[in-house]
Amino acid sequence: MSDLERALRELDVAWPETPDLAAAVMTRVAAREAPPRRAPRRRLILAYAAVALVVLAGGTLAVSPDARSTVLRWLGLGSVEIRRAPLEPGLGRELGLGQPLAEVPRGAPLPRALGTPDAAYETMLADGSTAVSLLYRGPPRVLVQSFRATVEPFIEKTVAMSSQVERVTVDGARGYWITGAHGFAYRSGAAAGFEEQRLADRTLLVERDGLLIRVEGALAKERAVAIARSVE
Amino acid sequence: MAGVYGAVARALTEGELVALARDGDGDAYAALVRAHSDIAFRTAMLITQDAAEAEEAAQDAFVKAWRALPRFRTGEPLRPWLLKIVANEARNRRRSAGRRAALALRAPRPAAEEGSAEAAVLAGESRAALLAALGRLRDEDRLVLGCRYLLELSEAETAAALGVRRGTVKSRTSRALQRLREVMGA
Repeated sequence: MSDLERALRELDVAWPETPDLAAAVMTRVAAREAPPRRAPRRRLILAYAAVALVVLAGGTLAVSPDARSTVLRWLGLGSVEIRRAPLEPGLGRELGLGQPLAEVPRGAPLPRALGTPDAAYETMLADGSTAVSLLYRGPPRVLVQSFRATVEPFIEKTVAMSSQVERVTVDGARGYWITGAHGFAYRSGAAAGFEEQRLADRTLLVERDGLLIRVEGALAKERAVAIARSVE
Repeated sequence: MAGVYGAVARALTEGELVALARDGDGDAYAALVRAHSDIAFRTAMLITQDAAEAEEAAQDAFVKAWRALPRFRTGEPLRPWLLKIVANEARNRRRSAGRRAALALRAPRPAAEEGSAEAAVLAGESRAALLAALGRLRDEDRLVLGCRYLLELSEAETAAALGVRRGTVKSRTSRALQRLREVMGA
């Protein structure tokens, strides 16, 4: 790419604010445009995992089976489908950081960008296995966890509980930068669990070679990415 | 425990949203409109050079796209298809509105905290100069550069938006860059 092309790409144009097109379009569509197809077609059958997203907190969000739109508006998420499902015992409970460790076990993944943690914990995962959680007192306080786990297929639940989720790529690995987060759901072995936020409402999740790296703290996205990238 | 319920949620993929929208699901279509609003509005803005015209063009395009959804080929990426409709609407409006004087876009003010105030001003001036030079190009050149570098559309998306072949996008881009160099040097 030439310097001129680079300069054009970095131009950072101050575009006018995008108007709320969805509201205007849907008003017009609802008012006089027929839906594109009336023929009854099987609605998409969506495969749900048995794990229930716990929007508990004393039952602040009651979801009725047919209240999809209302709930979505309440959550501010139009592209997420929510429905009721029985809660499975034990799922969604806070797992806690677990047992304090005297030192970081040999071989545990460490973020080079942060060095030696101020505290380390042995955290029990949903499937009974354990992971090491590293706490840096900062400021800012940062929590770094590395699990043998994945956020798929449960990233959707995490999305539903967060105000904003951005897909990121960290050295080719898939990641999610989540703000306004309450926690995230994950799969570990044959079981699924839910981790709550502890320090801040910002979390970077990166899946790399079967390892789920989580960086939580009052951090800018770039800093969180640098920390996740330095885990080895 | 019987009778205890929680909410199970998952994000729908674009393909699933399209399938739902084709069945008449307005919520699903609204989600698609929201996801593509920025790029649709900016593409229209690039062509019409007027925010009000761009808004109407983008809005009309999304209404037309809703009606045209049954003809959308499942599995194809939605964005180029949408941008083609948006660009058509924007071109129609531009033709009826007549030619506009200058590119209404502007570069943002330089950030004060980056480097010295002088450097920030210089950087701001060079951005403004580049944008002004872009505005002096003829439409064909300005649009292809706008799509490729300001909107960062792919070659395929640019081809869809401009209604030309990919090869044409390549050759037009290279010619337009050359003309921009000439305008900057003049």
